[in-house]
Amino acid sequence: MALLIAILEDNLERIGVMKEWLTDRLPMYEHAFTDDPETMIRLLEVKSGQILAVSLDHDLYDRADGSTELTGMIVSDYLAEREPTFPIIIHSSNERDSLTMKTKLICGGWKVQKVLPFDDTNWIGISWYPALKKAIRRAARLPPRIPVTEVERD
Amino acid sequence: MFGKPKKPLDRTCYPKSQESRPLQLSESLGRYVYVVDTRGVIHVAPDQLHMHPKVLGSVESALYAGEIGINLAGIVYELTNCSGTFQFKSKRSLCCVATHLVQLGFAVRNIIWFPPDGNSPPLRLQCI
Repeated sequence: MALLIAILEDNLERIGVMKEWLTDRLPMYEHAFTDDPETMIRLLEVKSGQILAVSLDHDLYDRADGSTELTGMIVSDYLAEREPTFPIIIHSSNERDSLTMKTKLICGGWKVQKVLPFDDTNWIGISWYPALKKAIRRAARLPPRIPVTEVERD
Repeated sequence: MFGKPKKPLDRTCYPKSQESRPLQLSESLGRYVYVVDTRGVIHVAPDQLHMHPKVLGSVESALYAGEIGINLAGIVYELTNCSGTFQFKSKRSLCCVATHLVQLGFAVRNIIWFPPDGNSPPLRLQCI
């Protein structure tokens, strides 16, 4: 079963561009998007042990209900109380609250990187995707050397 | 040795990108996509969406493809097999790309192979 990259994001344009990058470069992994913190938490519970990376927005004002109460902080609070098992990206323009999210997670032992959105959705290709891949790369395992006799097909 | 050449999954007949060029040691720092043509030449173009099928263009077959990052010191800090349109699977061929880079004069630091079935995190290859 493919590992999952889970993303909390409410803006449809951002979601569209993020999906394009993930499909263009990391099609081997499953990609899940939600604008609901509780749905994200349920997903993390159901897919426990199968998460490759998570990316969290803070403000979710583009939700259909326009809620200002439901934010990425709910997910970071949940994760901060748990054992770190995957890298986390925080992509939010809300400097103050995203810093609070980052701090809580780091104090919980999580590896976190913050990405600041800029220039419409161009930041997704310029800084979000590279940050996500770097986080995944850092979690890469070291295998034994490739045996000379190993036969592989492209 | 590389495996068999493969055509891109995206069969749109794109023209070759004007930004595509054979990789040379003088390449400036940055993130690129690369495609190895059937003669074994590594071509690079800026790291943009849907760029892989435009590096060679014309639905040309390739021996391998992925992403490459070059830092200020001219060191390849990342080499991957990430390409949605080519989806090469061979670890050995990724090592061939790394060997070619060394022959071109690059130092190669992180050779990261992403499993085609996605059921595990990527592997850091030690093939040089």
